[in-house]
Amino acid sequence: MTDRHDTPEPHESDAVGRRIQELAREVEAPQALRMRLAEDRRGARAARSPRRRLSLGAAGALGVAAVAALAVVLTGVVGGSGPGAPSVDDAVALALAKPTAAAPAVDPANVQVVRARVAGIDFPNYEYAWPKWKTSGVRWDTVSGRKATTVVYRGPRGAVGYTIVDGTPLAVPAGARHVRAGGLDLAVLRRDGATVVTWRRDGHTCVLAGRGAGVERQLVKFATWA
Amino acid sequence: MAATVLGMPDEGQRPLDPQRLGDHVDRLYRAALALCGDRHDAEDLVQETYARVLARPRFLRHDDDLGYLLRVLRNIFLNRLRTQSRKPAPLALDDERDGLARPGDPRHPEAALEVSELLGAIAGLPDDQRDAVVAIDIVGLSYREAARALRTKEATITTRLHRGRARLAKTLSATLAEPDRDAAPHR
Repeated sequence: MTDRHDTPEPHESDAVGRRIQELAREVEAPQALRMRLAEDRRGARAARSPRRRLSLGAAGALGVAAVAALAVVLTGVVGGSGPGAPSVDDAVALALAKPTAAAPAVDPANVQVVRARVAGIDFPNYEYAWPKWKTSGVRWDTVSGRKATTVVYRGPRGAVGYTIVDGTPLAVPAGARHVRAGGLDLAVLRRDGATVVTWRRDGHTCVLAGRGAGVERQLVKFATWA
Repeated sequence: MAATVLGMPDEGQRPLDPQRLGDHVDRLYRAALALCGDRHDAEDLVQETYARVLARPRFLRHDDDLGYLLRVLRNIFLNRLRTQSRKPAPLALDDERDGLARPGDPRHPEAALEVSELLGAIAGLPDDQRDAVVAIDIVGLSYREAARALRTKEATITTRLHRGRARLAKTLSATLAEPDRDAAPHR
């Protein structure tokens, strides 16, 4: 069949066009994109700062190495490894514990996060990107005098807890395997039959943990999306 | 032609107002999705489009900001394709990330799937047909604006659009069948 014969009657074409337009209007730009664009517009008159998400992917090897080296230094200097300081293992225990309150609601101002926050860091709404992963609960704890908030998610790989500990970063346990993904240095370890991924964000330790089979890949996706 | 030049405007030209660019985010995002078929790539594409437009003053001859933005977006997309030497990827990022459904989304999951299928199908159209469908049905340009944005004739746009729609109708016969209710109004 030639292209000429593929050309429909005008009324048929119009009907298809109307349906396409109707469906397309359902799509809205993500809130995160709007925020990044707003930042770009605000900065248009000044020297442009690197775009947030692209900058992660575009970080050169030198930059990544420098960040990693700095992280190592910080671990020794300010890592919570002193007496009485909480440990990553403490955070893992919270991440694997049952929630004590109902799931926090999605933030209507930014549907990519839920209404739970530690030190200015919002917990992600993974359901936004992975519809099968639902937020199932939250718990608030104090570990060695520090606030720790845990949001629990449930999805195809079972339950996954995400704990953020307020205050200076915690020391990464020896023997952790380091993975670089999404511009982050992720430490992967096993604890009590669970898979744990921990990293630092804005100077705080974040811990994701789950017991499901093959959950590591999902934890890495979660960590780099957060 | 919506000539865009750097430096000082010529007679009949006006500067593009950066503060109004936000009005077009949804349409450009739809266009980006339909071009590259990938959510993350679409976001990057829109952001790079805005970054490029905002990098220096722009002057347009006609009131077709959206058409101009679409042309920039399409050029960046094509440059990326040439650089990466690959065709558009399928819409789904991974096996657990499907559709466009998300909390707060008023649509049914079925509708999200339909949109996802539609955008994926548009991304798979021959380039000229895809561009016409994106410009007119996804972005909402008039035939004249689309012809200007794509730098071709209106008649050519019309032909490409109809062929693109016909191909989509064959591919997505169930999705593109009009709902059993009064026809949706024209834009």
